[in-house]
Amino acid sequence: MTFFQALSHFLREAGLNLVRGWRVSILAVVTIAASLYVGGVFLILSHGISSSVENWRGEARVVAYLEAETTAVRVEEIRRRVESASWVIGVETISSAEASDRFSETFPEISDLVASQGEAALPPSLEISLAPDRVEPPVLQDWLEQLAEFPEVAMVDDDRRWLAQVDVFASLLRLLGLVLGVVLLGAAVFTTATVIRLTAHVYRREIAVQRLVGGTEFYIRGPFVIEGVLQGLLGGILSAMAIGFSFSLLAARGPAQLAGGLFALEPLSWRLLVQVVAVGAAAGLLGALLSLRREI
Amino acid sequence: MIQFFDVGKRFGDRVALADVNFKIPRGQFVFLRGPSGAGKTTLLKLIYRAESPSEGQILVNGRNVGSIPKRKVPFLRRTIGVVFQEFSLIERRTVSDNVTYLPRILGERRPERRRLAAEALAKVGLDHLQDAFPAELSGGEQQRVAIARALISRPQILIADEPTGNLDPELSRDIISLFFEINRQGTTVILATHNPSLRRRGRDRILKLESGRLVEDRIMDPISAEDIPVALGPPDPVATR
Ligand SMILES: Nc1ncnc2c1ncn2[C@@H]1O[C@H](COP(=O)(O)OP(=O)(O)O)[C@@H](O)[C@H]1O
Ligand SMILES: [Mg+2]
Repeated sequence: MTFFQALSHFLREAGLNLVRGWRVSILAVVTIAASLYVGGVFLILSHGISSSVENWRGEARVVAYLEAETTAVRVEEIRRRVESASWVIGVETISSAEASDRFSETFPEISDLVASQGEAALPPSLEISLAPDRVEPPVLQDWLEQLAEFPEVAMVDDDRRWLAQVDVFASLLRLLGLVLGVVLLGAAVFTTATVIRLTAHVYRREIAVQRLVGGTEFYIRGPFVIEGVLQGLLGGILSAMAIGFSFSLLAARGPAQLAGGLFALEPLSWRLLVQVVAVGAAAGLLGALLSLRREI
Repeated sequence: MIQFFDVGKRFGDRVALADVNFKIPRGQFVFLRGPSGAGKTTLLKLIYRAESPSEGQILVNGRNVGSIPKRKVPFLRRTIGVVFQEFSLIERRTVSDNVTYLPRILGERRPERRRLAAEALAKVGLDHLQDAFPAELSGGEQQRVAIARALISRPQILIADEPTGNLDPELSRDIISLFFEINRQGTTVILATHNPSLRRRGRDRILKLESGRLVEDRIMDPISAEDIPVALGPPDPVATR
């Protein structure tokens, strides 16, 4: 028997087994699909957040707000000092007037409020762009603290502090997704193994006959292995479809963005969906191999 | 040819067979007798390596069966036809499909399988029932299909474990006649039975087991119709040559 004859025999038998035992087959397919869906969604979300954080970090900015009465000359001096650090890419000086203009542009509805407070309502500031990879974090930290101690500097606002928190959140989400995914996938593998063991039990007489007339183990077990792979493939396809559907729903709700546009939802890649299907097939294969080790 | 040299088989502490020695030349018809639990099934299983011996050597067609590696066992089995009681026919397959498991494993296509099935079923007189399902057949017909399945590879050796166990005496006689007929074409037949009243013919051999030991080994003399112990019987054609 050639390999392709064997494969087509396995596929036919496995397909028949799936259809004949459709109730338990559905059970295996659905548990695989559900575990992949939960694990997949968590991983995609955490991945989206992480890559957003990466983007923000790349354009890390520190804003030093100055006292309102600082003279333009003094502002220029401070700017020079800041610029001299090797990890500073650029410094932009925002005068009080510019700050007010920006504010009215961003929030036109409440711009009157600022206007009524007069010229000095918003303090001047220095927007400092950093290259965090050019410096050791503790050195940067010291430098920022020194900056804050200038008498003219009212406050140093460091974006990167809360970015780190978001990053921790993304890691937690990813960990949770991985743990949930692994636990659920373990359950799915176990279910597949049980379903295949059940099928093998139903066909035990036929298996015995095949052995007695001289069927090789490859020939006898092949259909069960393929059955597991088919269950995993179906589960994977189902879950890929569910993930795709969920994301198109989210996208339809508005621009594909969450949390007020801070987290850009990355478009789903085909590669990811193919990976989901592949993990499903692998889970089915593993379940089949586990059940074959003892039972058949 | 089948030879047992000092063969023993234990299951844990239980001794199923001990010190079994015999030699079955090609073309012989052997009744393996003995009460239930005597070790008949175990002895047959040793021949087609469904069990391996705990002691001694077993030669089947010159091959040391006990030392065949596990993955080669299927190839030994393809040369031995087995009619066995406990796993008989598969209900959801047609008679033709039941008979052609081996050709299917060997990759024969459907038309060739049907031709082989027809040929094997003709030997047991059932070639008209190819497309029936086992449930539509009588007990005797089902057993004939099982025999056809064992004959599908034209084996030199045919083994049958209690093939008449479920049948009434008349049907049993028919089945035994069928085995005689198969044997006349040159196939070695070993037939285990706990029923001592089965008809015998001249030159048929009887091996009798009791509690795992061979207690009788005789051949019926075709002229006198009396049993002769094998040790005194007609000289072994291989040994005298
Ligand atoms: N797989 C096994 N495990 C344990 N004991 C067994 C096994 N197979 C057979 N036996 C024992 O070996 C003895 C012979 O059994 P068996 O060969 O089936 O006898 P028979 O076929 O003559 O009725 C019995 O005592 C039986 O209980
Ligand atoms: Mg028995």
